[in-house]
Order: sequence, then C-alpha cells, then structure tokens
Amino acid sequence: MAEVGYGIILLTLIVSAYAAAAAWVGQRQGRPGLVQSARNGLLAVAGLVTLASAVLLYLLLAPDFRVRYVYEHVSSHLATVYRISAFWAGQEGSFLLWLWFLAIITALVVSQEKAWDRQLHSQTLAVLAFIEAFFALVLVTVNDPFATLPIRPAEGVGLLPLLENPGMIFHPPTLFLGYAGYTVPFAFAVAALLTGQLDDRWLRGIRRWSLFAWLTLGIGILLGAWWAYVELGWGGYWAWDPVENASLVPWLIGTALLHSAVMQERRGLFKVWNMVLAILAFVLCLFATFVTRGGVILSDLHGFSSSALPITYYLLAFMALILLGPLFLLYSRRRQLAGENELEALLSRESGFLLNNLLFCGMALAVFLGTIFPTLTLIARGERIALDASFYNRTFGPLALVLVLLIGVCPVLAWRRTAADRLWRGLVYQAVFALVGAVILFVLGIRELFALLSFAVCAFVTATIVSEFYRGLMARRRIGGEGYLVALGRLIARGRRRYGGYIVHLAIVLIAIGVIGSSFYKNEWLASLRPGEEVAIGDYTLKYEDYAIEVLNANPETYQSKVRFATTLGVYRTGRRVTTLVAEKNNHWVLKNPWVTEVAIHSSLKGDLYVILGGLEQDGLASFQLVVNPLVSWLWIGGGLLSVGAVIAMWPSGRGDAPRGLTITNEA
Amino acid sequence: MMDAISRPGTKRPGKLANKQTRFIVGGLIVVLVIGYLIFTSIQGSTAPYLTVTELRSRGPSVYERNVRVSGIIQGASIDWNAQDLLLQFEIADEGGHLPVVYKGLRPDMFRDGAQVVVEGQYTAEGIFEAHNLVLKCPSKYEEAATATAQPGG
Repeated sequence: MAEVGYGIILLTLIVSAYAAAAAWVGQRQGRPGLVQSARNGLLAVAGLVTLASAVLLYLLLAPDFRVRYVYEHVSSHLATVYRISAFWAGQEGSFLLWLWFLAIITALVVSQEKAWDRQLHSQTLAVLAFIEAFFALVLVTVNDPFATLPIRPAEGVGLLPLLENPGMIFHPPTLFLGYAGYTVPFAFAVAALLTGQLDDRWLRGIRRWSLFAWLTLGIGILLGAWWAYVELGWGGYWAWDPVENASLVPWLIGTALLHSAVMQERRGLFKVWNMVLAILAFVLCLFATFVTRGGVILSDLHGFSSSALPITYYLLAFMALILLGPLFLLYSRRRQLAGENELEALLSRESGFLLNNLLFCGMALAVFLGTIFPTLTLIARGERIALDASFYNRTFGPLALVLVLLIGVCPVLAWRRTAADRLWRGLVYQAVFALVGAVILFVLGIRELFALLSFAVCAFVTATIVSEFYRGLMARRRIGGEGYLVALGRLIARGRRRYGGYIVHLAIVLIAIGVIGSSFYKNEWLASLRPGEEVAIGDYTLKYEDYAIEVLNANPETYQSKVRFATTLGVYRTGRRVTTLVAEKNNHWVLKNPWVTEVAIHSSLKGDLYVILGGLEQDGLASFQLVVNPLVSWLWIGGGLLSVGAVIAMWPSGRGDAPRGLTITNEA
Repeated sequence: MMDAISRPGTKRPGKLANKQTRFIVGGLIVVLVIGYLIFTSIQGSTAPYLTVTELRSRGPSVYERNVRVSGIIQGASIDWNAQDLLLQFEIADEGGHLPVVYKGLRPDMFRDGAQVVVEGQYTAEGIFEAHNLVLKCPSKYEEAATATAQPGG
C-alpha cells in the first residue's frame, strides 16, 4: 500500500511538471490545445494527490507500523481522531497536506477561467503547476511520507502528548490552507509579469483568493494561539516565539495587500507595490515553513529541529528562485507599471491607505527582524542574542494601536481630498464617546496610560463603525421604508465588501480588547494546598477537593503511556459554586521531558480563571499556579466575528469580476 | 467602495510634482519613525547573559543588580519544597557552581542536565535569588526527532 502511495506522488511530480511546461509553451506559442492538456493535467493532479492523501490516511488508521511515518506518529492507544490528525503531526505529512490543498485550489482556479483573461490564466496555471511540482519533488526525494522500515514493529512510538489536543486537529490544516491560498496571488502576479498584462486583470483574479488566504491564515494563527493557551500551560496565548512570528509575518503582509489592492482598483495607484506584496506574502509563507521545519532559526522555547536537514537546502533554493525571479521581472517591467493618478491631498483616503501600508509593513519588518535576530548576531558576532518580548511590546504595540485608530478615521476620509472641518464634524461624536469611555474606565480603576489610551481608541473605532452602519440603515429606511432587520440585511447584502470589511474591523477591535485586557491586567498567585483547603484569589474562592494518581496505557509502552496526577477543585464566587475544575499533570515516562501539564480553565466574558497544577505529592499536597486572565475570551469571539465578516466580503456577487472597461458593474 | 470600477481624477502634468514631494516626505517621516522605534527597541531588549564563571569573576560589582546567568542544572543538588513552593538547586559550567533559590512552581522541563537561564540577583552570601527561570531545552517537540533515531520501541 505504501508503495502505491509513493507511486502516486511520483506520477504527480511527472504530471505537474508536464502541466507547467505545457501551459507555459502553449501560451507563448499560442497553442490552445497544449494549454487545454495542461488544464486536464492539473485536474488529474488534484485527483492524484487526493488519492495519495487517502492512502496515507488509510495507513494511519490501519495502523500500518511498517510505514515509518505511521510508526513515528501513531500508537494503538491513540484515539481515531488523533490518528487522523497525525497526518499533519510530522514534516512529511504536513508537506503532503499542503500539496493536497494546493492541488484542490489549483483545480478550482482551472475551473474559474474567464474569456477575458485567457493569456494571463494560462501562465497562472503554469506557475501553480510549477509550485506543485516543487512540493511533489520534495515529497519523493527528502520528505517521503510513504517510506517503510525494514521490519514491521509491533507498536508505534505514538503522538507527542502536546499534539494530542483539539487545537492541533484544526490549527495546522487551517494554517496550511492559508499558505496554499497565498500561492494564487503569487501565481497571478508572476503571470501578469510574464505575459505583460499588467492592468487590473491579475488583481481581479486574486481578489477573492487573497481574502480567502488571509482569513484561513489568520484563523490558523488564532487557533495556534488557542492551542498554546490551553495546552502549553504557561498562562498565555502568545510568546513571540519564532514559529508563531513566522506565520504572523505573511499574514501582516497579506493584510497590507488586501488594502493596497483597493488603492489600485479605485485610483490606479500602488501597482508595483501590489506586485511586491503578492510575491512577498507567498515567499514569507515558505519562510514560515523554513523556520518551523528548516532548523536554521532556533528559539529558546520551541524550535522543531536542531540541525540543518536536506529540506533546508530545497526550501532555501526555492525561496531564492521565487523571490529573485519575479523581482527581476518586476524591475524589467517597471515602466509599464507607472501609477495612473497622483496622490492629491494629505487629508485623503489615499493617505490613510498609504499610512496603513507603511504601518503593516513596519510591523511585519519588526516581527521578521525579531525572528531572525539571533541568526543575524550569530553571523555577525558568533553568538546568538535573542530579543525578549519587550522588543515586540515596544514596536508592535504602538504601531498596532495607530493602525486601530486609523480604522476609526478612514471611513470619514473621502477619496482625493477631505476638508479638515468635514473630518472634524465626522469624528467629533466618536471622539466624545471615546473620551467619556476613558473617563468611566479611569473612575473604575483603569490607570495605566497605555491601557486607557488603547481602550479609548477601541471605543472610538467602535463608535465610527456603528455610526457607518446606522447611516446606511437610516438611508435605506428613508428610501425604502424597510424594517430595521430587513434594512440591515439588505444593507450588508448590497455592499458585501464594504460592510463585510466593517464587520472584520469590529472583530479586530474585539481582539484588541482581549489583548489589552490580558496583557495589562493578568494576575498570578501561587498556592500550596492540602485536600480540603481553600484559597481566595480575586473574586474567586477555590477549594481543593480531591486528587487521584493513576497509571494509564502502561502496555505497550508508547508516548501515550503516562502516570496521571489529577486534582479536583471547586470554584466559588460570592459564595455560590460556579464550576468544578480538574487540573492535571501527566508523566509520560517514555519521553525525555516527561512532564506535560494539562491546565484547567474556567472561561467567562469578564475573564478566565486558569489553574496550573505544579506538582502533586503522594500524600495529596498540591502546588498550584492560579492565573486570572481578563478578557481572553474576547480574542476567540473576535476570531469568530472576523470569519463572518470575511465570508460576507468574499461571498460571490454573481455579477462577475471582469476588470474595468470590459464589463461595467457597480457595487452597491 | 460604492463604485469599485470608475476612477475619479486623471493625471495632470505640471504642479502635481510638488504635491508628490509632500507624500514622499510624509512617507519618509513615517518610515524613519518606525525605523527609529525598531532600532531603539533592539537596544533595549537584548539582555545578554553571563556564564557562571563570568558571574564569579565579577564578584561584588554585580551584587543586587538584575542579571541573567546561564548554566547546567546539577541533578543531585535539586531540592524541591512543595509546601513552601521553594526550588533550590545549583547550576554549573566548567568554571564553577552557583546555588540558586527560586520561589514558584517547578517547571515541566526542569531536570538534571538541562540548560537554564536564571534571571534575578546575586547576593553577597553567594546565593542567586532568581525570579525567573527560562529552560533552554532545545524543544518540547524535539522528542519526535530523538525518537525517530531509535526504531524498535
């Protein structure tokens, strides 16, 4: 069976390489038959990779321990759902998953061809096929998920306990979907450069894809933060670790692209810039994989592998090719990419977008520099010097705050120019609202300047967005006499991009509130308790009620074998029992680092109670770290709202995406 | 975004060149501010750490100052008091040993032979009072890589 899987990947390599060549030559020499066969080839690739993935899944579920990948990631103690998630627990499987997503997305792009973009489309397919071929090459040479062992072991090693968590079922696939999604903007940009069709067609082609990639990558990052929060057990969700940072950088660049693309659509500006961002976003997705899997940039806390593996060289060479090639093309085409308009007034929507892009790129640069800093100092001075979290708080924090403020100002800024008094009239109520909000918070005891300022900015932005909705709603009611709900529904349906965007911005405010609350007002206590004893922390009283020590999955010995140390705590608030928490610590004796903490969390809108069991003695004496984390759940709620907004903005309007001048449509 | 297609305004030659300079200057100022922010933050966020040997050689000059010291945890010296949440241990390198006291939970990756960075103050009694421990264990995830080297389990 494993040999079949390998054969399919080998065939995928051949077919995708053929498709790349056929699409390229077919477009160059004007031979539609050749392009058509490339198209068929790409559909076949989607089928082949789906089949290969099904084979790996079958091997994991069986489980067939003769296959090295299965042996390394599955044990017979493992629940079915984690046998499935073992698919992307290791490097080989992750690459196969990425290729699978890429193949499906490419097949969708194949089916989306429009009459007006045939040339561009052919070259886009050539680029996509080329990238598929690269992934297939990696899989057949250095990352073969179907490699077998000389003997069939009786039992597998098992899944790392840290990966045995719901977060790991969803986090990696969502992230890879985002990475695969950013291939499409890249492919369209390069195709535009190759064919010389440098008008807005490529931008039209990527609009929905770049939003899709942005959403999935963003949700993937958020799910990763959630996993770290519930599983790593140190009380936080974001540690500015290189692996986290590396996925954040392409997302920031992708966000800049979403905004600057609007500038080209509306005003014919930022043409070169959009190309650069589309190329960078994809290269940085590969860089993220390079950081996670390449073993060059190591963190103090978690790097996945410590030595340079063959994959490192493959990724380095490929990144160099797909960065330098397109940049060279871009340079040679620079004259055709001049802006059609000029920026006119400093007080204008254009300035807002310009500032937005500078800030996003500044944030991306700060995070990128922080990530590679130890490597830079190693090269320059022979030692690794890491930047601590304060670096990110000092750079990322203020830039993000200005950006959030900009969300609140931008809707009031008109294109081309805005009179200062109009801007003032448009914002005065929101500013008053924010000021009142800040005063109330001050009275309630929020005294840190940066926190107060940040909350005021959030209030300001919320007020702007709500007033935008209100104005649209009232206009509809005046004209059509519709009820509130009908008017709201139609308002959003008729201006999906605009109102979807507002919803996303509102979600960003919710996330910002969660971040501010949990970074400024986190509180920690240490307690050592015997069964029956209580401790008061904040509004809560915790009663340590019971404990258990038991051995699980002892035979055969795998990563899932453990001694479970569990404590039961009753949580009381104002004398009433709120919930029961079970905080655990497991000793997986097979592992070199055997201790894995399973935290217990009681979540509410106001904040989370986060219980870490530090240790449990045989006589029941337990040591706890108790954390009160205000407003953390706002992050996850914000993530949900962000998805809703992005899906609304992405929803097809059914009127086609033809570029300007070919079909004239007006969007609400 | 009422009208995603038409573009108001067309290019006029002449005076606009001056307008563009304002944007270039404005953009440059923003870029410089961001650059300055990053540059100063790098300087403020690189706390280098000393080795045990270096700390010993500096003697009284580092007393009562916040420093970071890196060393290897000595398994035999670990004394964990679960009642008082007090962790006492020694770290060492080729140049000597350093006794450390830490109030808090014993970290999951705290074990004999692990590399640790202790952050805190060195006192005249020769004891290091740590308020933060960073385990420089290669990775929790690395276990997978180590396990793959020994099939047969």
